Amino acid sequence: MKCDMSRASLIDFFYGELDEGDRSRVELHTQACPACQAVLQELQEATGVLRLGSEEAPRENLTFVANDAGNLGNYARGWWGRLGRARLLLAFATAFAIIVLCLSLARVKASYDADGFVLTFGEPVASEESPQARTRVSGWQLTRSEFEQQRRSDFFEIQEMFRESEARQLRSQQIILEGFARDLDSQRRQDMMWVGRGLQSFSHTSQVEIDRTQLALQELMLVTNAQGNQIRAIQFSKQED
Amino acid sequence: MNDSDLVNRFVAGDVAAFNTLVRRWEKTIYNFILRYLSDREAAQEGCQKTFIRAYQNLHRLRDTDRLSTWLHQIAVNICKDDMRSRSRRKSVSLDQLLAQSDHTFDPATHDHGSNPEECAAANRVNALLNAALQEIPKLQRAVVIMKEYQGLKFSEIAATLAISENTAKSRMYYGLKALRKVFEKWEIDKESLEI
Ligand SMILES: [Zn+2]
Repeated sequence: MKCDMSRASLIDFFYGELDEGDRSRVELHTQACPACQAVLQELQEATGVLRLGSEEAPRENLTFVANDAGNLGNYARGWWGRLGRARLLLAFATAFAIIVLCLSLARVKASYDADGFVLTFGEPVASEESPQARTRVSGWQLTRSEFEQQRRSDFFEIQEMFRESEARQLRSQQIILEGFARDLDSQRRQDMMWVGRGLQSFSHTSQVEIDRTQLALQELMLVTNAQGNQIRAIQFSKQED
Repeated sequence: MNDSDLVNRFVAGDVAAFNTLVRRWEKTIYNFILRYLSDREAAQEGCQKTFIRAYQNLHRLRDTDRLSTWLHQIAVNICKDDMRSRSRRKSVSLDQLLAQSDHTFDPATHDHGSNPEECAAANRVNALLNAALQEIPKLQRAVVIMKEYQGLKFSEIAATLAISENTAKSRMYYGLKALRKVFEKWEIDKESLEI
């Protein structure tokens, strides 16, 4: 008879995780199916041994104390990790300090007016009262087209960075996928092994079957030959008469 | 008080509630890792790491009824890290393992009362079973341990390992079949092990 019982259904049946309808359907099938009975027997044997195991208590017990517990984990993360929530604040403060320092060192002035975007490095404007002072400032002025060019190249740079981060992400996804493929592969290999073993035992039993059939055939032939001889003998004797 | 209440109390700032959760779950998690890695040191360390990670992230647990699944999920990840960092894990022969288990029995750590002989026998059985579990692929091992020892439902196992329920059941099937082969090879059965 043909058995189309799925592994999942058998496992569910074994662990009593089927609803009433499915349970009685599987039960009815397994009562008549030697293959399923053999599998259930195997599951029974394996879990029978497994269930002899007992739990151990851990040697040391953990206790968390209000502040120390956090630190316990933080030590693994180094000094930066140990700072905890202060990290964000520290990062902002440092970034702000660096920006202020740079600006004050470079004495940068930025403005955007009818002449275009103007970035001024170097000496500060001499005094507020002399409007001409601005033209005398040694510095670097960007025209609108230069500004546009700058903006475009910035844009390309950002795009490049974006592409890079995408590539990085792809690589890490690939690593995960490769791991997944390896796992799948080992599962597949395991499956193939079982199929192979199944085939081996099948071919073994079929060889036995063939041998037995051949023997039976030989016996049958002997009997037929004997009967043939008898018939011939009878025919011969009839001709004699 | 149930897990969910304790989680909420901890998130509200009550560290004692977390310690109650640790008392409740550390043995379960310790034994999970012990069976998964068959190494007491690693189990002790992994158990600690699991609860430290839980302490740091518990406020992110949305579904507080899923604490058990969530803790197992952390433990599995920690086991994976452990296996990766010690990929060339020193291999211990079964004989060594058994010899080790004879020397390390400690009545305090067992549920078998204070009879040292029973204790040593239980240790032997556990060491043998853990060694057998190492013989099957780790994907199947995790499912077998979770089902047979951790009392998780297939839906919970599937959620913990981020796989489908059918995959979990299929791994269970192959895992048990493979284990039976190992037991057969080592000539172990229920009768020969029973104390
Ligand atoms: Zn069947």
